[in-house]
Amino acid sequence: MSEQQGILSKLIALITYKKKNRPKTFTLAEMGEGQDAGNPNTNDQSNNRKKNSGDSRSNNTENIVQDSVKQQEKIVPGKPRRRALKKPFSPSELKSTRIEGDKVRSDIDSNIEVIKQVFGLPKNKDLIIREFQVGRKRRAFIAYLDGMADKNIINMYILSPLFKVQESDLPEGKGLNSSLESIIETNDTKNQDSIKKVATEILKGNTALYVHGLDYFLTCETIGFEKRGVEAPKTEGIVKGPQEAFGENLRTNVALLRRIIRNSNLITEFFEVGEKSSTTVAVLYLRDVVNPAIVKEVSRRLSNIAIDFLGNAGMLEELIEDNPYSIIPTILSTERPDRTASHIVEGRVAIVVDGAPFAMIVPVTMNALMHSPEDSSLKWQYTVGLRAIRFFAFFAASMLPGLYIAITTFHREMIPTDLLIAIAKAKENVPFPTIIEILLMEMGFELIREAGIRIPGIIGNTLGIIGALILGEAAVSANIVSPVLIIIVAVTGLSNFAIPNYSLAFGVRLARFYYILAGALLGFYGIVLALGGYVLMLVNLKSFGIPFLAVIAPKGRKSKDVILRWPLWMQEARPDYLNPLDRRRQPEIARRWAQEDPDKA
Amino acid sequence: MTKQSLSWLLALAIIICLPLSGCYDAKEIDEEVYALVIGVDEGVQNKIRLTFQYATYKEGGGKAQGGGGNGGDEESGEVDGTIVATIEASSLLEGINLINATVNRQISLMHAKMLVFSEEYAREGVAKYVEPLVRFREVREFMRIVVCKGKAEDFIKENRSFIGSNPAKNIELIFEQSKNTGYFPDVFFSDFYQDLLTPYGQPTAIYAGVNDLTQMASDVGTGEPPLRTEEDYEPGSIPRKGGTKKELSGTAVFDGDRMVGTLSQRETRFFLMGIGEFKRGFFTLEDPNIPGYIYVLEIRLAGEPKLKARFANAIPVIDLELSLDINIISIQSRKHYEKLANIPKLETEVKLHFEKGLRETIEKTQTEWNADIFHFGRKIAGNFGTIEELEAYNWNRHYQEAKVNVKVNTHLRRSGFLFEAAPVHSSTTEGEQKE
Repeated sequence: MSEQQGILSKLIALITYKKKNRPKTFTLAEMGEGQDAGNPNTNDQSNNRKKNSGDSRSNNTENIVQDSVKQQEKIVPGKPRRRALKKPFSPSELKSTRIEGDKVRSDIDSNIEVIKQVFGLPKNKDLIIREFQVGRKRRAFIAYLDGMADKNIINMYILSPLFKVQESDLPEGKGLNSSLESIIETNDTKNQDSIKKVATEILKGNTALYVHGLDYFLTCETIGFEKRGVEAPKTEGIVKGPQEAFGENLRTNVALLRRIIRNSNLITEFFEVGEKSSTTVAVLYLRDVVNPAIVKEVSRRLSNIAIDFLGNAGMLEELIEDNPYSIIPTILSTERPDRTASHIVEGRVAIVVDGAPFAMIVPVTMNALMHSPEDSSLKWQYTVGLRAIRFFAFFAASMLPGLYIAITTFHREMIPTDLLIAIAKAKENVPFPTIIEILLMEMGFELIREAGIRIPGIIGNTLGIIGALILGEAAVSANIVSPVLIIIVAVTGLSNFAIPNYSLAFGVRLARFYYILAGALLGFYGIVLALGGYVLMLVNLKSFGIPFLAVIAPKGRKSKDVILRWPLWMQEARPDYLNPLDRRRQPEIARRWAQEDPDKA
Repeated sequence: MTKQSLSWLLALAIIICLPLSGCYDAKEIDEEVYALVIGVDEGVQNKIRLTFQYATYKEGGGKAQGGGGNGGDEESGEVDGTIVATIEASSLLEGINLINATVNRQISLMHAKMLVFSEEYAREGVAKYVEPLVRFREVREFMRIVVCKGKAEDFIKENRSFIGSNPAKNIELIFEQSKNTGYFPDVFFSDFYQDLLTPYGQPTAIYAGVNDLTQMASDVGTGEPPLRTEEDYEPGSIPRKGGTKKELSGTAVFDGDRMVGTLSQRETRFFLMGIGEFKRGFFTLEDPNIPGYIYVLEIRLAGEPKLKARFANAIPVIDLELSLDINIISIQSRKHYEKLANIPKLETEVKLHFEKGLRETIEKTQTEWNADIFHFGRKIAGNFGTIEELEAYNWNRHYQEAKVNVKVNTHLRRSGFLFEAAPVHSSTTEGEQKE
């Protein structure tokens, strides 16, 4: 890479005759190139696999040693064989040293040293280590991360009781454990004899306590970092229905779900994904409803992800979805606990990522993406109408510009003569062909949308609307586009916002350009071909093994909540394609009171 | 070559192919002008003289006209937001190409709404000039066929509207008036062409003309004006002033591809009733009880006419049965014809009137032209075993021999907002009149 750049700059220099001796600029030394590869913090957490693969970017201590050995070999030319001879550790040796290093020592000084090493003290300013004496005699220390742990809990329920302890209260040996546990007043304590586990607990915001002489740490729950409260949903706002959304805190999110589904069969499994971030991922399902195969598949996928960092739900979505190349999402992500809960009860699995205000629901089908959380809170007649609008929106958002261009350039006989002449009149002074007009306007619209997100705060929305109006108006009066096209693009844009799923709306936005291309090239014939291809893609999709267009293709048992929504009391079965353990949602007659004689009751 | 790179190559090949075949037929809307009316006259220097009327793309729909005068530019042929251009050529489609040289844009027949033949030309036979339009893909079936008195060119020049500036709408809506009045049939190009070919009957066309607005007599009349109900006007002879000069009234009757005669407005109404296409119309009948007084009825066709055809002693016998719904619009004499006891009498009067009119119209087509424009042949065909037998029989020749029985059922349905109108009282009224 750098060599190539050298040649390139030389070539450019030949043409430009620029001074060749430029001042030295900073370049990032690549691995195996520079002398100092840096000495990052030692970290016992990195696991075995990386070590064996010899990934040079791993910051494991032993690995760096290994790397530097390699580098030394590389630097010395002509002696390739020494590499094999000088191999310092065999894998088994490495393993043994690691385990040795992972054990908690039984003296306080070396434990402090280990903790300091693990967290990179004194460079790292986040970890607080507080040394003190228990019962004025026995040395002890606590370690916690500043900001992650609640200092009030530490002061009042860990430190304060420990300071009040008399020496006589502290027996020697094994008795110490139970007495310590009774002294500490936090709600949860654990014994940890592995440094790695201690480090993980500290990273979560818990506090590690070590008392001299023990061969384990006592971790106390003190998690108390700043978090956002439960707020109203931002992208899935509805009029009628609950107005709370997930936050960034996993525990809160799970609690929100538990509060809705009060059922002991609601299981929350935890997974950790991301080697550097160790992000907790929760998997929630109803044990007596969900098909166990789905849960198995979800946990298989989650536990087999090798990635360094998992920042949000979208990243995980990309890692676990069935068809990464599909432009249509096959995972439903929602920020609404009520919606998540309703899917869990239907027999689906919810995946909640710590730090992401979204829950992912698998497996889903196309129609689930087209449903809105408001659907179930409105009367079914209204919902049917709303769904019709939504399906029209899906159609319009993806195909309207494509159809327009197909009709106006290939099938002019289909336009009513009055309209045709009106369009021709409006287009008379426009110098561009329709395809350029459409692309210009679509580009403008997308620009407004993208810019609208960045424009700060209150002016954002206004500027977006005004921008669209002014842009359209100006484009028409400047004869850049014809007014009919503004309507087409505006209806398309509106329709796109009517699609209830954020990701699906993006997929439709992309598909729109695909149809524009097809319409511009081959007219209706092209659109039909493109639609065929699109439908093929859709039927080919799977969401955790479930065909994406299930119920429609392949045809399943009739559902009362696909495109139409029938009254709630008619929806007796859970989705057939999920094969849930409990198929029946409710008995045949849900409105039992209607069968009764009101006078006899 | 791996499987993946092969599939990439295939995809690439398909993508490269797309622009090769794609866009070939693509044409922007404003690259074409859309001929709304095509007129065919007999040529002088060449076989035919073609007239096209096409919409311009100027804002505001052409020049402002001065009070229904002779607006438009004679030289450019500009007529109310449209251009009327005439050219002589050897054939219809060649004429389009010839005129393209002057129009700057491709003339498209996709939106042609009216095909006008001059009467003179229609009487010579139109089949050879209709055929290329059928074969040519741009022409569509809903183009109307009009035969006009005089030259088609003159008729098209008068095809303007003073109501709105939208030429296409004007042309579309004028044909809709067939449903409101029944004074002319609404003949589609596809029907016309089909009728040319069938052994079942004969084609018709809309009969039209240009009114020079001088038909109205001078304002000074002498004495009482005569009462003339169901006046028959030739197109171009309706006494009126103002408005457009074009007039559609009556039916052009064809025998094969040659025009043989015309039905008047009144006869056209009976003709439309006979074929079941009469929607509604006002009829003024003289009151049989009080001469000089009239009553006005709105007549609607109640359902399709019932048609039966059979052979009796080798003579084709056709039974036509119609039902008409009557709404009273006006009774000048203020007599209580809508009273339950009086209804049958009125119904019978109307029934006889319409039976007579219908019978006369049918007889006219039989005796004068022997042209079965009612398409009775469609029912007669049921009496033949095979189509070859029907063709050998040649219904169109035997139409004149047919005996047609007409039966009209009438039902008085509504009497309007008035019921048993009270007499008008004045100083000369002589007491209460009892019936």
